[in-house]
Amino acid sequence: MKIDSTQRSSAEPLHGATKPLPEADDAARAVRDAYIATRFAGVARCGEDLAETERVIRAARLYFEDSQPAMATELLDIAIALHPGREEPWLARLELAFLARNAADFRGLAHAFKHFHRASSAWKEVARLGYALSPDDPAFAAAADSQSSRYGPWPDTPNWIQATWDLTSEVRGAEFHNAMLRRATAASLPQVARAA
Amino acid sequence: MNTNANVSSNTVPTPAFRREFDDAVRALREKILTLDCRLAIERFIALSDELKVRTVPVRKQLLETRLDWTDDERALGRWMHSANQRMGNLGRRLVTVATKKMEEADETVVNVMARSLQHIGNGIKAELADGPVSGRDYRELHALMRLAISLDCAKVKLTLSVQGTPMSVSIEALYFRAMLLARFANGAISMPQIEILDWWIWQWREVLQSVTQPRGANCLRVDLESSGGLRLGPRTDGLPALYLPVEPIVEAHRWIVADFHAGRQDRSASPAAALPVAEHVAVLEVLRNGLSRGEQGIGTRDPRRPSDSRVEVLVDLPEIMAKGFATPGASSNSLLAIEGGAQRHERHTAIGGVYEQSKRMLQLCDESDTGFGLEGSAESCRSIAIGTLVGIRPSPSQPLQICRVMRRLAGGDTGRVTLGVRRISSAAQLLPVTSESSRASSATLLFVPGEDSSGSQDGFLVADSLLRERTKFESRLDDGVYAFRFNRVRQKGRGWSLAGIEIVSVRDRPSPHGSLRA
Repeated sequence: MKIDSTQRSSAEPLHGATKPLPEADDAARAVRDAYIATRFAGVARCGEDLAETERVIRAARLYFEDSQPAMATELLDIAIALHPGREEPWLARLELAFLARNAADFRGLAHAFKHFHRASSAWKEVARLGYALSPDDPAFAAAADSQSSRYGPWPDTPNWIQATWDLTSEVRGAEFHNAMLRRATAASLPQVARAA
Repeated sequence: MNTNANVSSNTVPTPAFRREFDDAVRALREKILTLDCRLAIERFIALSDELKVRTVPVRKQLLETRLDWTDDERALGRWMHSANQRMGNLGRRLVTVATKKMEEADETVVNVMARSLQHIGNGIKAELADGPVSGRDYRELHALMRLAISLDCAKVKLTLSVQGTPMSVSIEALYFRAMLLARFANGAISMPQIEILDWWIWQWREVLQSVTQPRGANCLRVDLESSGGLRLGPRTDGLPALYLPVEPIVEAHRWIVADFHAGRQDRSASPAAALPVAEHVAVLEVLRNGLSRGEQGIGTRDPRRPSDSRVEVLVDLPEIMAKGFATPGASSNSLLAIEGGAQRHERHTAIGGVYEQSKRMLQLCDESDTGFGLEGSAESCRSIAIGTLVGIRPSPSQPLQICRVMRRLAGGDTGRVTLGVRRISSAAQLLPVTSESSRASSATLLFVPGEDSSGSQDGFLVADSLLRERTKFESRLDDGVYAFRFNRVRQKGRGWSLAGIEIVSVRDRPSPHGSLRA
């Protein structure tokens, strides 16, 4: 879904990185796709691939966990710009901004999110996180009441970046790692024996 | 110098033309003190125009050459470097003399100053053709900038021809352009990439403005009385310095990224703009790293331990996989990549060819905890470029070290090439797998364990082509059959990627009695 840029309100400046992109002609699409395929190799081959929300968010989370936050945010930014009608990348991007404690980034994103997803049921949660980072921002003022009932410096975070509670995959990863180590050790023993 | 009317300016300058040009520069330099200033400036500008026009086809040829340069091309690159350097030096002398002789420095002097800075910048770009620059001396550049400040014309703008396009630019922007190019032209960037960087710097010329006080910790600094280049962070000894704020450059970087997101790229704007998008992405990464380092302070280099031995170097993933893990007497069954049955015979023949190749022996000069310094002849390093994957075995008792080439510097007349490589892994191993996309086909992948025991940093070194398919692979290990997929690229080079994985499933777990289920 593409949102017409005329829907924007001049009173609500949009976050720079998440402006919907205009419809591209073939040449522009080719340039963009080549960029996406190079920059996000293994994740996406073209702009259309960025519509696969779950895959994109998972990749962004992994980049973030790999200490590549710039890759994570850029991937979500371009996914949002190309498919602004999908809520999930917005929310994942907001959560990354929150985790980075980047108040200015979060505010800009939150305002843009509200602009494009006025009816979103997630807004209450966005405002709650926003209030924790920017308590003076009137857009998050409604969340003040919910904060008072919480204990601790930061609110609980949602799981918009799809961090899995089910650790099966992580356990499998560790098992694979260990199995490969055992394999390497087993392979090196005959060599050691030959060398001796 | 009289332009030879018989030679088109679209053609690469001949050796005779190059000699004639060099002689003309030398002659003007010798007469600079005695010649009338106006006449000297006139001749300098004519030479400057000539050089700019005649180096356009040289750059075009060097950029279009995908293979290693020929000796002729190398000579052209060296001439482009030295001619620009000499013009920069001549211009600086001319400005110095003119400001002393003339009552007041007029716009022609400022023009000479601007052209000198432009030539020095152009020379720095061409440095890559002329080998490693050990201890580059920035005094020429600083002297010009000091002159500009003393004449109060550092922020004066004038119009210069840049790759045939007139551009309005200030003296200080030309100075910072040269300084930025010097910062990045250190062997970690290829000739096409530095052309892209230069093209971008021309677009950013409006933000290359000096300030006398640092704006935050993230700033670039020049100490004008020194012989050093751009440094990171504020000056701490209390002496004056010129600062280049980084934030406007970071913002300009964001705009380039935004343009790629929108697919906005005028590929006809310049030869650099027409280069492949992958080269642009590589330069964006170099810039991102170079600029973000400013936030973290000056990076330190790992201590290097001198070494003096000859080592075999395997180049590119197929050769590393074919030869790097072969045990004596083993057949060439180590497959190179995903392959179907029909391809197998041909591929084995190709592997046989690889085995017949003579060994590529390079000198191991030093090593550190993170990598190696190597040196070799131009011939033996012909197929090695920045981003190439190499395999090195420093000694027979050590495991194969898989590394990425970070720097490559051609040694000019010496014909030697210096390489700096960073270790990716010393514990890689081949793993036979089957792929889901082509049933019953087997392949071998190169596994690279991560530092983390959780396995979250494990990955495989694979050919880029493999990532275009979203294939699921399976491999039998001692505790089951693991199915996995690639889920992102953690590192990338020329034709290869270090791809992260996710384990999709594990089946055929051992029974409690210790045997695998069928």
